[in-house]
Amino acid sequence: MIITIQKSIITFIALYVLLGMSPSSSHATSPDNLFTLDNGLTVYVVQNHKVPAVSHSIWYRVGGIDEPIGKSGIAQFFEHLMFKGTETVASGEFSKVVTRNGGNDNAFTTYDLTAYYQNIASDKLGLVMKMEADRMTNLTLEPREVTTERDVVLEERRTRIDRHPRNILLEQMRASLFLRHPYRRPLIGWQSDIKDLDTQDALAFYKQHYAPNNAVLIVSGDVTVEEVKELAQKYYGVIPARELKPREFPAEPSHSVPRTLIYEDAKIRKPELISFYLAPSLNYGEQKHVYALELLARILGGSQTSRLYQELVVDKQLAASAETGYNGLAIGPAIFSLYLLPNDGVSLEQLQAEFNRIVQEMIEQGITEDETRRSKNVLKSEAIYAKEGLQRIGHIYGSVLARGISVDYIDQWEDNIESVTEEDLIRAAKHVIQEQHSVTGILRSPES
Amino acid sequence: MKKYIITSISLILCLLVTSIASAATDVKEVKGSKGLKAWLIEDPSLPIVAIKIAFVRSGSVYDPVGKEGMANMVVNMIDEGAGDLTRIDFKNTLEEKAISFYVTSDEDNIYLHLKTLTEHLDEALKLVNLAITKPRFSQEDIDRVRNQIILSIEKNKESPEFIANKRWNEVAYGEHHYGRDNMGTAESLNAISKDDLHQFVRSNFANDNIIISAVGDITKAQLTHHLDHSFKGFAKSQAKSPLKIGELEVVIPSTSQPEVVPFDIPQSVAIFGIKGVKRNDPNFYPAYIMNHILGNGGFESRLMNEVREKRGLAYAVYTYMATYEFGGVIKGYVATENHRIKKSIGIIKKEIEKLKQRSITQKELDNAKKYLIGSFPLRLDKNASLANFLMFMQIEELGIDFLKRRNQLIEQVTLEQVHEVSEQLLDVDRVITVVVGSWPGKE
Repeated sequence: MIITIQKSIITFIALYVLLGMSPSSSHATSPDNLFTLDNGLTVYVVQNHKVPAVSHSIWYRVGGIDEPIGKSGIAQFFEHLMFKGTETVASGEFSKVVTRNGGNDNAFTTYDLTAYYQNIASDKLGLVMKMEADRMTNLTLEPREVTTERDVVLEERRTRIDRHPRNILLEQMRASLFLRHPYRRPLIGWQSDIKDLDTQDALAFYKQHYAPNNAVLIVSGDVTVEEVKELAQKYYGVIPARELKPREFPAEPSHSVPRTLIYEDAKIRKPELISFYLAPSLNYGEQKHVYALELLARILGGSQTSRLYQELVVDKQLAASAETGYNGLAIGPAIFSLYLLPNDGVSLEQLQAEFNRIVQEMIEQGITEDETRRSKNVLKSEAIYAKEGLQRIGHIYGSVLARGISVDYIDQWEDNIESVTEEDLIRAAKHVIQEQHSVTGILRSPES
Repeated sequence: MKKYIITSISLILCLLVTSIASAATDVKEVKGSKGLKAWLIEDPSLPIVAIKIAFVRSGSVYDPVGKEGMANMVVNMIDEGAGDLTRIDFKNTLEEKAISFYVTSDEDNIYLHLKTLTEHLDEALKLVNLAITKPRFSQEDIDRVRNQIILSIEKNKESPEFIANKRWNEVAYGEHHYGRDNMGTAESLNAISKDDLHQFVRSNFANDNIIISAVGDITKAQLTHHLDHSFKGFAKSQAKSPLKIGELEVVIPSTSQPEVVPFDIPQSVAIFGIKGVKRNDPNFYPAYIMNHILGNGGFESRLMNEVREKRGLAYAVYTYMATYEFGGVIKGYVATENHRIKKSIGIIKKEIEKLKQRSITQKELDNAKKYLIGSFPLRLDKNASLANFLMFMQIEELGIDFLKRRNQLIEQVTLEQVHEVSEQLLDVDRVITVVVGSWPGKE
């Protein structure tokens, strides 16, 4: 796949750091749409009758952060194994049955959660629910298949990380930014850990985390709440709840030393600078800054009219790309990120100093009403655009509910963005853009 | 972290046939009073309008020799200010109204993509018209954008996928202009002047090569009004390109060995491919189904099954059809750790050979059809993707009733037709393979 970078070198960081999902409100949540089955399964329905199709997804409250020490990668490895067989569905048949019924399916693992989804004609909802409920509890694993799939995951690691110098650096930056929180581990797993994962590890993980009371079911599309209620009760409702351990994660100790990592690779033609700043999220740290940070990332470096772009790329022509990114939807601490690609003849140090100067000036002189207004408009319009389609809106609800965050977050998101003041933005910038809780990564060739 | 990488890569033409349901197949043709026409699907359910505009026969294949990268440069300059609006005024206005506007190009055409809230449609179309008729092209912006593209070209050389694709195109397309890099080179970009860019716009944005589609909260009457008032000020007809572009002949390789580009990485990336068919070829649908069975059907595809599921040789392996105005190819991708890449390529070639030997079963064909027809409505859910369809239906002259006929076209393909097209297209001796990484014996 060729990603043409050109004018804007698009969000390498955002893509890597988290699922770049901007939560967006559609219509106020009706209390009828949200209900819980007796076994603890949370269900949310988004009705949209435009096409006779549904997006069905199940979200488990388990991800990379729940992995035992030494078993990094098991969450996403296990997600692969969920596509093997059960007592009634032959190995590898799950996706085939979905496609033969005209549907698409896939899954993804994040640090906070694991999701499985199918998009399919609405009259096939019962079929995919039946199969999804089946593999919540009846998965059977053949050791030989587990070993082959582990090879696939090792190839996946090579594809995603090992053959990209930037991603090798980002992986090490993460491990360096988080001093204690499990976000420090790579989601795909360290190669040395993946190599030793086996069927026993997978089954133990399955038994501990895959249960109706540890899941959220989302159906968006051409259905009614009653239909979903009936089908969910029929297929998921019969699965007994399991005893779950509470999800508890250590807080970060105080960060007192700025860190810099330098990775040299002869394949690098043009150097880059990436910075991570430890930041609050909806669930962690000073949560009041979250909405301001979403706006700040946009005002500072989120578009081609942003301060960084205008000053560094257009006016002074020191950089070819300058971006900031932030996503506050996380169980643990979030990352405020910076990406700089200097023009020829400009040193990374010079560019970094320019960044610090721009931030300092912003803090001292303030942010204009115009800048704030434009960024609010763009963010809020995303909320309307997100109403299009079935999958995206369903995934927004899933990613919020599975993190234990109330749907109020979605309903009130626009108002919360609107109410951010210029003072809030400055306070958030001062709180987050501080050297001592940052990691700077430098990517360059040994000759440079 | 997906179970697999979604394989829809530059398959715009093929996407065309995997979508659209009966609910929104009601396409209307709208005519302005000055000869312009557009295709429209009305959907007032959300206050959003998506508009796609193509200028055909203006893509990179027509870039003048010595000025390669011209179309791409124009595309990157179009939203850098227009009329009285400087770059920053233009972009700020788009942001104030939350209008999404961007421009892309491929080998054959240039595409404008517009998405706006209904309340800002007039303003949005005014800005688009200004951009394509009175672009500023200030020397300062030209120099900066040129520099950014040159830097991108250098960054692309860090990417094994990019290197493999570029080299495959050079090897397979030989002297044909499809073998050139759309982005050009530092040298060719430096040869492009401000006058060249203005000349390009005057020559290529015209009444007789524009294609327009609209989907969403806009009525026939409103669109008619816009055809007269918001699409004006460009030439009657496109200037004829002095370049004579011939039909694409894919080079026949002299050896079955892959071309190896040494690259210091633990996993080698391979691009393989063979001559395919054009979109208007009578064999398009049989070939489309054959490709689905070979390598485009996710876990149902033979390559996925043999390379990944059975042997764990790769995370992603797939094939896709690329169709251009002057030819078509079937291309594929696989990445495997260095010492096993040869095995992956060997298995892929064996599967290609098997397909040629009439091995597709009636059941496989039926399953492929079930997916291709059943998944029809799934991409109907967004205005922008529907508008894209309507644009390509016009470019490929598929007919305004195509959405209604499409399932029939898939349904009527016979096993014999799929066998015949497999025999005709697939030939392991003609598969061109480029490996970036290492190859046993060629470290």
